[in-house]
Amino acid sequence: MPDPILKVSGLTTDISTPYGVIRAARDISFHLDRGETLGIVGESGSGKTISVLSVLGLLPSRYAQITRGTVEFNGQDITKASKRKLRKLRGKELGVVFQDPMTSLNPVVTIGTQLIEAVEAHVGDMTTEEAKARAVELLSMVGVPDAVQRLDQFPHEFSGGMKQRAMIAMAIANRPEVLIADEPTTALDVTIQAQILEVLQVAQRETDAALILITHDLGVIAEMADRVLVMYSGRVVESGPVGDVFHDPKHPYTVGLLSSLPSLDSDGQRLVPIPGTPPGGLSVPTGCAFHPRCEMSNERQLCSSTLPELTNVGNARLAACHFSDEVTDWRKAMIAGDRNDA
Amino acid sequence: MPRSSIHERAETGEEILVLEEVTKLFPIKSGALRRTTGHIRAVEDVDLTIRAGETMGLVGESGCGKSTLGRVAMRLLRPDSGRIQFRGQDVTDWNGRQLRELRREMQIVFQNPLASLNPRRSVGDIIAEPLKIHGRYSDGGQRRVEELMEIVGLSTSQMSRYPNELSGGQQQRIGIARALALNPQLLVLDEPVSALDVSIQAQVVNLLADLQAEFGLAYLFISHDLSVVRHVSDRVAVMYLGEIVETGTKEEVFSTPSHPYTQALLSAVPADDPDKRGLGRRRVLEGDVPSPADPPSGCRFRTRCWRAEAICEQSSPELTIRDGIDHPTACHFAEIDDVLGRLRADADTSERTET
Repeated sequence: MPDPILKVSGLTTDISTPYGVIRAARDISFHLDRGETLGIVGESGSGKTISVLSVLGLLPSRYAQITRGTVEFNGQDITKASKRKLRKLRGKELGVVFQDPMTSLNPVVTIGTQLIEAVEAHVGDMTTEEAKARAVELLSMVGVPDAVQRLDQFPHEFSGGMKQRAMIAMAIANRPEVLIADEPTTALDVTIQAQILEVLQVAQRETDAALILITHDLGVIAEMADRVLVMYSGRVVESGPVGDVFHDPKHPYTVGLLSSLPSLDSDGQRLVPIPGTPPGGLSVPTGCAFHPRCEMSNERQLCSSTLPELTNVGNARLAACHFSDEVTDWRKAMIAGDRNDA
Repeated sequence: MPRSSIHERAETGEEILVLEEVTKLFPIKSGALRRTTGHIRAVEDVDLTIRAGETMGLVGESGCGKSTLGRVAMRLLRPDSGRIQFRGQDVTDWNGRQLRELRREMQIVFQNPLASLNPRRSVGDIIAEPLKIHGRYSDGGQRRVEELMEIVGLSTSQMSRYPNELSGGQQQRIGIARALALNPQLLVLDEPVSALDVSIQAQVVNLLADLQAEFGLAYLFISHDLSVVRHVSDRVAVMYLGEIVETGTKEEVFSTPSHPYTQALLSAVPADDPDKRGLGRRRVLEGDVPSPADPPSGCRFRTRCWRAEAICEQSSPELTIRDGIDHPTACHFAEIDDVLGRLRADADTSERTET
């Protein structure tokens, strides 16, 4: 098996706030194989964006520090890399698409200029004509019609979906090995979301890039990901092949997420929400951060006293639960019990 | 006209709110003189009926006019034409004191809980406000506030807290408690769970279902999220660019969709199970929604429709029962296509052939 393109080990990131230090990402470990799609899912504040910004070296150093861990890209640790080196890496080997295309594009510069800039920044000897031709090619690849004319337009002349296409074009301009998309469709309508997901798949196919897809939307994960990482309160609580995780989750939080979700396919069964609310970064519960909301824990002492490690639960799967071997039966009982109630 | 009758509680199933050919335009002003140079046609010729105790789901993408329609239905906005009847009374031209009476029976919950709560008022004050406005606070108002907090699942110890101290889910519960204060018959819920995380979203969806069962409330549930709409609604109306293009019971709209837009919308929703992923087989709509300031002639969906023909450009299809379809649909070429069933069947037959 070839080495993974990206290997994150024990990554821990602290953020200073006026109220104290928040440990936003704790001991994050995962790998990304070449060409695969890794979904990272979690609710707001779960640390999914912070983890990826740490990987990219995009956190403001005044407020945020990586306190522990390594990020190996192609076998090299990039947490210690200089800003210059990181800047060269981003936009070339690492392409990024952010959630809000409106704030990621410069409003006073034409799409063409921004796209050509992205192309030229990482390629030394390229004539303006070549760069422009490449820009047109990229825009057409992501499905922007009339690419030649569109180059001379400003971001405000693009609709939300078109802007996000332009962002994707920029991210894949230099055939990155890793494409990172942070909530790329959250701001978009569902019909536009379907377009953009398709464009991402095309972009990935054209460049052979591995894709990290960050989202709060389990549907997007189900639709796109090969493997999934579930985050809660700054930690990875479960990971594995997407089908296995959806069909037989091994962490009670994943069970809760899935049972909270109304389905387009089935009717009016009562949703089973997770009780309570996620903890804030400043008041993380002791032991397992999920234990106050966990209905399987049943107030067992181990859950509130000891932090469960992310351990192997078979078949390339990891889960951070002391009682992960009970989850399958507990979930079945819960679903059955719920049917009986109804 | 005996005004008091709007306060009589309708029997379940009775029509309580009826909109007839309602149109709402917003002027576009430009130039130094701010002259009106055009109109955003936010809602045009919409008929909608809501019955006591039921949930009417109103679904559509951003800018389709669903929120405007909700506000017109509430009479927060006055329609430019058309009639609005509440409990048999024509309320289209009501104002002032009459509208205040109407508000007792119809309340609204907004999408963004924090923005719709006064940050300088305590939770207790916010929930008490409708009672005070309607002169009901002096008589047991404090007890009513406590009762409301319990109904929506807030602890009465949070009464003196401020909205920003609470989580998004709790803030939305405050908004719901405030809307319930006067014991209304109808709630307009404008994207009530869209700003919430899924685990919290499910809590609020369940709460709304419980409240409806307990108090016989009717809901106009506005959302862009088709899964949520399917979960909560009895009947559904699909909006596109200011018009309702298809409406019917939940089963009719979700299992026998007949308007191309409804079909496209349904097929665009991501699968909830990796085995059902179907992007390749989906009907991905091309292009964006046209501007409501200058909607296409004829059928408004024709510019993105794969079935459009010459007639679609010339004549606007009426929302009506058509051959072989048991619910109203506004398409010249309406044809039932069980998009979801098809995706599901495909998933069952194709053994997991993921890329």
